[in-house]
Amino acid sequence: MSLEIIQASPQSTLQATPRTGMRHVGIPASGAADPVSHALGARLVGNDISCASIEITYGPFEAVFHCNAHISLTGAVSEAHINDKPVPFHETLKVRSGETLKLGHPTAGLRTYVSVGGGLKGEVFASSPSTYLPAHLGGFDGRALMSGDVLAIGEASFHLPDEPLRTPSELQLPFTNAFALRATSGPDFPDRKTDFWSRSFSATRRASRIGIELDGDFPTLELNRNLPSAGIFPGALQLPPQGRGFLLLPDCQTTGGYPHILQVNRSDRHLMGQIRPGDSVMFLKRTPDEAAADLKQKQELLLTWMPDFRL
Amino acid sequence: MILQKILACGDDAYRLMPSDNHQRHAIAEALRSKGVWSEVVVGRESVTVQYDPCETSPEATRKLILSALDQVNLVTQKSASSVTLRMRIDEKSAPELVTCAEANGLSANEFLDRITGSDLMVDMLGFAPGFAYVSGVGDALVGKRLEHPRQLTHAGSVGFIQGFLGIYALDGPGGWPIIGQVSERLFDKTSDNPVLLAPGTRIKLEVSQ
Repeated sequence: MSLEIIQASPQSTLQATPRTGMRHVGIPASGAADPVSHALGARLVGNDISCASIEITYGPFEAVFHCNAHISLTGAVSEAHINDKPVPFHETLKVRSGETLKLGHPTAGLRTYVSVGGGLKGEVFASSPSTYLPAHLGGFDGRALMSGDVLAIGEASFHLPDEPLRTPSELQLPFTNAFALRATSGPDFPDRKTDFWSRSFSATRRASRIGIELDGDFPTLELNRNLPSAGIFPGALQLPPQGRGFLLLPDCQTTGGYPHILQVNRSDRHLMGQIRPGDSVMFLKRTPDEAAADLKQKQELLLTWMPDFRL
Repeated sequence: MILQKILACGDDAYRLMPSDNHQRHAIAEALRSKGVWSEVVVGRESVTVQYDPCETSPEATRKLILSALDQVNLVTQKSASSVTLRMRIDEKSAPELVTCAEANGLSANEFLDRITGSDLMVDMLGFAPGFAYVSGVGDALVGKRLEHPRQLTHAGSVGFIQGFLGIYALDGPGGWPIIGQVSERLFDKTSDNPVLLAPGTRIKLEVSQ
């Protein structure tokens, strides 16, 4: 039970749920950069979200299956073919042994998830098979997938219905090249009056699973730039001295000393994984109470289809 | 008052600034033992707590944190664990030992005596998995980061900059001058507790010749 990678550029990794409760010993979260798309994919093939899927950054991607399998495609939508036959995103697909899955570049959004019934076997580190590239932990040998890699597929525990499953249309998020992320002021947001919240920023080419650099008109901060290092989480927008913002993603460090000007809210953090270089990003101001209400609303919508998923 | 302030750090975290910075580890331990918060992270002058706003509202969480801290008697907290690390100082294990010592007008042995005689404690972790910032080295010893960081610093390497040791748990890039390398395994990726050193761990450093 396996599949073999033919092409996986520029970066594809095995990702599942994040690592939690270990940031105090310096172990970052990792996990799918867009955890909602990963979970939707898992749902279509009957996997638990702790099973790894392939997170493909931008593509192209090609793999040949050495067994029959149920698979699904979620996240950033690109042209997709199984043995030259076009196949849709967001539904359970059957692949036969010897068939090839081929994906092109997405037109909007950055990361596509290929889920396989039974899950792809990754090295489990700290309760998760998710890959953490900087320290070569988890996933496939702790590294990005390469041509020739053979990925083992786990035993599917779930009997799929004969009719393919489809993600409910209200949960199929369309991505564009503009992102509006709900956010809350961070501890170092400037006190003085600012029109920051009406500005838009542009993602630069400095983008990885650690974070995304944003260019634009950021406020100048009067505070000391060497702040004492403090715990920091994905979703933080830091403002280093060179004046460009850096939005932290799941592989970010666990502590940091740059000014933390805002925090993308938990409700919208999954969208950060779909921002690509050149995209525009705006932040919509929320109070912590408003953010909690937003989160509950989105959480309830997701629970109708994925009872075990938590944002 | 245990806390000087508690401030919201976005929509799902609070940063606690203790009145007495030495109490960070006791505060973190008391909060972690409750088992209700997603993450409790010690920083240089803070403890940051992440929570799930779907479980408890921001205001309820703030009250929960404050009442959890009311219940702990920080004075009677038993002192944290202690670990002895044996440090090799041959040229390969300690490439910058002599330069660090000379910068302070000391011989390598005198410099090491000052370090190993200090009251060393893991202040916090960060930068990389298991990387420990160790406090307790007196400010009288000067030292700063390498001008050109190394592509590869080996696991177990002990770095020194003014006021701190930095211990690398994993191979990786690094910018600290290296004054030794410990023999103990600091990181075990197959373990449920992969990291040997935790915030608050006391460290006894022994030089092995």
